[in-house]
Amino acid sequence: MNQYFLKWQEGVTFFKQEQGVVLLLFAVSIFLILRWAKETDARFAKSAGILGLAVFVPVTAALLLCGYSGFYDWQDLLLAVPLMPVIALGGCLVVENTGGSAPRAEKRGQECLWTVISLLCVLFLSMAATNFHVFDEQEKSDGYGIPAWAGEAFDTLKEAVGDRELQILGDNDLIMYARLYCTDWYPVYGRDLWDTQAMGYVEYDYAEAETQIGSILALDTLSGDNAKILISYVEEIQPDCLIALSSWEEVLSTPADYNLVTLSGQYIAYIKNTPEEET
Amino acid sequence: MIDLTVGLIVLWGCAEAAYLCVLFTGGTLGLYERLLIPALVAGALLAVLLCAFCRRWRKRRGEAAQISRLSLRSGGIYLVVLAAAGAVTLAHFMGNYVVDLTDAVYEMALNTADSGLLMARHPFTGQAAGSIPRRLQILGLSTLYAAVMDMTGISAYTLMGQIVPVLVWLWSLGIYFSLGRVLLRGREKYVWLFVGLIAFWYVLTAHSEGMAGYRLFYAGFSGETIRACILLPFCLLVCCRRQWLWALLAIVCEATLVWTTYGIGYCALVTAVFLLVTLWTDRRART
Repeated sequence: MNQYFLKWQEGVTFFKQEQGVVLLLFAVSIFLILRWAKETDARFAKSAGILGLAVFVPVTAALLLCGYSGFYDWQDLLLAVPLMPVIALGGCLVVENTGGSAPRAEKRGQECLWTVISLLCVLFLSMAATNFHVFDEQEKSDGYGIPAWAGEAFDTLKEAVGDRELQILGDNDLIMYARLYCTDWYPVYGRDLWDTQAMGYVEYDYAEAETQIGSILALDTLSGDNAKILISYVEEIQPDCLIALSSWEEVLSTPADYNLVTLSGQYIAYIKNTPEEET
Repeated sequence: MIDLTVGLIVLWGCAEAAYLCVLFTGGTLGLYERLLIPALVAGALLAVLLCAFCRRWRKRRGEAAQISRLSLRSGGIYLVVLAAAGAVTLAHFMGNYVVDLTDAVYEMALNTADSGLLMARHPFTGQAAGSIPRRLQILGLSTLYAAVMDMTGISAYTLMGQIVPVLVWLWSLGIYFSLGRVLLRGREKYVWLFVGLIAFWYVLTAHSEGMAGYRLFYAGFSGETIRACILLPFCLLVCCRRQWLWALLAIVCEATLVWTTYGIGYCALVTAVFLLVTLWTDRRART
């Protein structure tokens, strides 16, 4: 239970930094809907308010996280709260009630004002909000999102392993690009291997190993102690391939049954021998 | 829109039934593809029959459609908000934006299309299929995408990064339009503003993790996005209209789309809260 409470705490801290204004808008909208409500609106606002309270109050939030989002983060629980329709309905009621009893011309002016404000918000804020990324020609030729440096390294790896399936141990970005490059290559552990905060993954047997390996793989330089830990895990898990930074080569001794292949200036790979090669 | 969404859920249910048959008999993607078309045809027939039956039943009980038709013209100047937000959204989907490639559904769909095997890898760990829990195995969305990619030759990026998110966005706005008509009954002019604000909200929250806009803009194909943008608003809509049977349908649909707590997901939570508030307000009204 304590871990779910911590999850809630982390989520709320993040939410306050990024989206505190949403909570304010939600609360104001609930108030406005209840003030100007008709029957359906009131029922809707009350239900939304209860859902909002359940998600934001620590005890109920921890209970819900335990039941609903043990696997996910607190932010996922927010989706159960109808933030969007409540705020939109609140906005409509504000527009209706601020211009409702005014003369026709004035009312039209109110409508135009609200529309212009909304449009300006859409145009300016959306520029910052959406994350447009236009790929350059090199990226396009390598397939969507695989940068040239990764493509180069994978070409060499593909030459070395052929059509063999690979269970790869490597750092976050590299594994993601490896998955895109070839679907026969897949991570040994989960996608959140590198997210040490993702406590939802504790139910997996390898969570402790995941966390430790993830933190080592995220390092720029490798110490002797970390190299020993990494090699011990490699020997235990026996991945088909370990991709590491070239600079690690001095510290990381080649594990038994593995061959060293230089992928590019930046990366090296330890590839496990196939049974035929061993015999 | 309720009937259309019910139809969509029934169609999905039939595709899911075909998937489960293939999964539990140890079949391959090829077998699923052969079963998919008859399953969808059967689903379409079932959806039409179900909706016709329900309409007739509502008519018999005197619950004829209480909501008048709403023309585009009635939106007036508020349509500009919707058009602007829509243009930004479509520009995003048509551009080369970055899809959340690490999403389990994306990975599973690529894996399934490539290997021709159902649930061959654990999407979270990459381990062999034996370690996949049953409640994850029953989620058939990635296999449906894999089958569509395989049958039509559409690329994963086009299907999951562009076509599906746009459909989800349009469907979501349709459901919110219906919800707006229920909530703003007698003030229909503002329904278009309501939908415009929803579209606007999707754009505004596109950079905020945990918000529906973020999911729609970067992982519009995932089960969680479909839940957030279609199933939950649908659930709100049918709960506002006291159509509890359809809420039950949404709960079941969610269980086959997203990893839930043994079938009890957010739709169940929303329905339970609405049901309690309805019972409470009805009781107060009686006394």
